[in-house]
Amino acid sequence: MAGFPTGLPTGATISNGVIPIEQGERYREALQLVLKAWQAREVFAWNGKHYQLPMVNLWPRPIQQPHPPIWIPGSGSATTVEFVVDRDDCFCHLSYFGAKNAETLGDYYWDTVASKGRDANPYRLGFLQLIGVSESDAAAEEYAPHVEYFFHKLLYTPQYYQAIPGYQDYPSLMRGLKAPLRERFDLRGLKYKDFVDRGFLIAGSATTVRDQLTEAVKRLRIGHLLTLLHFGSMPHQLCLKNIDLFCRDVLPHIEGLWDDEWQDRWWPQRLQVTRPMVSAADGGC
Amino acid sequence: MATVEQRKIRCWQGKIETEIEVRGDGSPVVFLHGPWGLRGDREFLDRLAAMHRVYAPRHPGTSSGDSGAIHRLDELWDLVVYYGELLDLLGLETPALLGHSFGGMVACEIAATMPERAGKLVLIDPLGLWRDDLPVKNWMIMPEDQLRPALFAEPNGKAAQRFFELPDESDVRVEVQASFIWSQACTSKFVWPIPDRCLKKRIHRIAAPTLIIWGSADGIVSSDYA
Repeated sequence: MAGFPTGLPTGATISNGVIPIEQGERYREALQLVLKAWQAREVFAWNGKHYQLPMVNLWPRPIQQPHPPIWIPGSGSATTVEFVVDRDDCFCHLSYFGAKNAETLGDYYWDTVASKGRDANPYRLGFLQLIGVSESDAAAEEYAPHVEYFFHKLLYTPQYYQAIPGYQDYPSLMRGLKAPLRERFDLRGLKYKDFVDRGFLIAGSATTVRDQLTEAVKRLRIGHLLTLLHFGSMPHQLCLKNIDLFCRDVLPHIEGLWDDEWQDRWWPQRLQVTRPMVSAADGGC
Repeated sequence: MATVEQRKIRCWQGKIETEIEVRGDGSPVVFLHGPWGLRGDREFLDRLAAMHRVYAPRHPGTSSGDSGAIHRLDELWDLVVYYGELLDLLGLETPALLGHSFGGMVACEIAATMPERAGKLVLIDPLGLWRDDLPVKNWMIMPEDQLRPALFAEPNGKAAQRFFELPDESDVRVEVQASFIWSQACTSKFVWPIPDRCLKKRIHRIAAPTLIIWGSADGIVSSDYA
């Protein structure tokens, strides 16, 4: 797959000097340029507003034809949701705040899908979730310092750097002021227990994690679950343990949830395989 | 309070609609507002209208119902030509150009590009120049507790309170918030990330008698620029 993130306002506008009100249109032009470059058989000139290139001649060309499946992330912008549904790409909801806090945007997404006449194929939605698997719910507290480090330090950006005027277009700005699709949190005021209780992190025994993930996947109709198993200050061994427990005791129970109903059109064709359902007792992955 | 006539003019081949507040009688003055819209300037404009006919257009994209107008202009050169067209449509040959902050920079650019169109020039804390030893603060990425003292000598005075206060009624509140944010978004298109578009190369062409007014406590652009 090819991921095309629109970029955070801080990275684009402060670190790189992109004019905030042009960030979106610049991104859309760049996407068109890349798609044309991937597919063109002849050298072409690109006379865009933000990019002017006299000879575009891409080499090597992508193996997948006409191009790899496109995944576009978003976190709370109605305009991004509509753009992705119009293009029929996979929308990756990178909320970072967990499935529990994603229902407003999730509902808006599926309403948009329906109103634009697209099918309800769950594979058109990706969702990122922080996950910590341990021997028991109590033992999962071993993830506490790392999830706090992640939200208190790594993901923390002051509000006045996030909400730079122009990073949202006017319709999204109005929507955000009237009925925001994404709730704002004082991340530094939350502790491990809060992150778990409020669903930022799904943590606990394999049974707890699989139950909560199954509920989340069904509630939001998530086809592609992006599992964040390494977050914050996690040491290598804990990261390996988390991945191992997840693959053995959680993944086999959720990976085939939609396979009998839907085909994944946003996955490389050569990797499209029919997955036998594997029970945990069989050893998982 | 002066009677205000709300005018709407469509220009740029019909692609941009501009709201213009017109008030007072006397010699014509065109007031070009700063990054935050016209809301904070009306008392000042009323007083100015006692002696002048004051035209206060909203910068492209900030007129109600035409937020997309900002996408019809790409750069400062477009903006200057657009203002030349607007002056034509208003029938103003050589008005006094009065600009605050961002508006001061636009007034300078008009007066440098078309010296014959500026009868007089009045600049209040204008943007447009840059000194490495006196960097202009970026007002769009400042928290309110830093922005207040940067914009107002008396951060808790009446003027500051009026500038930052929001109406209680939710619909009006949203309108005011949106206007405050979108005005900054639109004007920043011509000054982000550094409000220096090389005016210093063109400033020698300004022929109009010019008055420069600067707040000694200006925390965005130091009064040393005056």
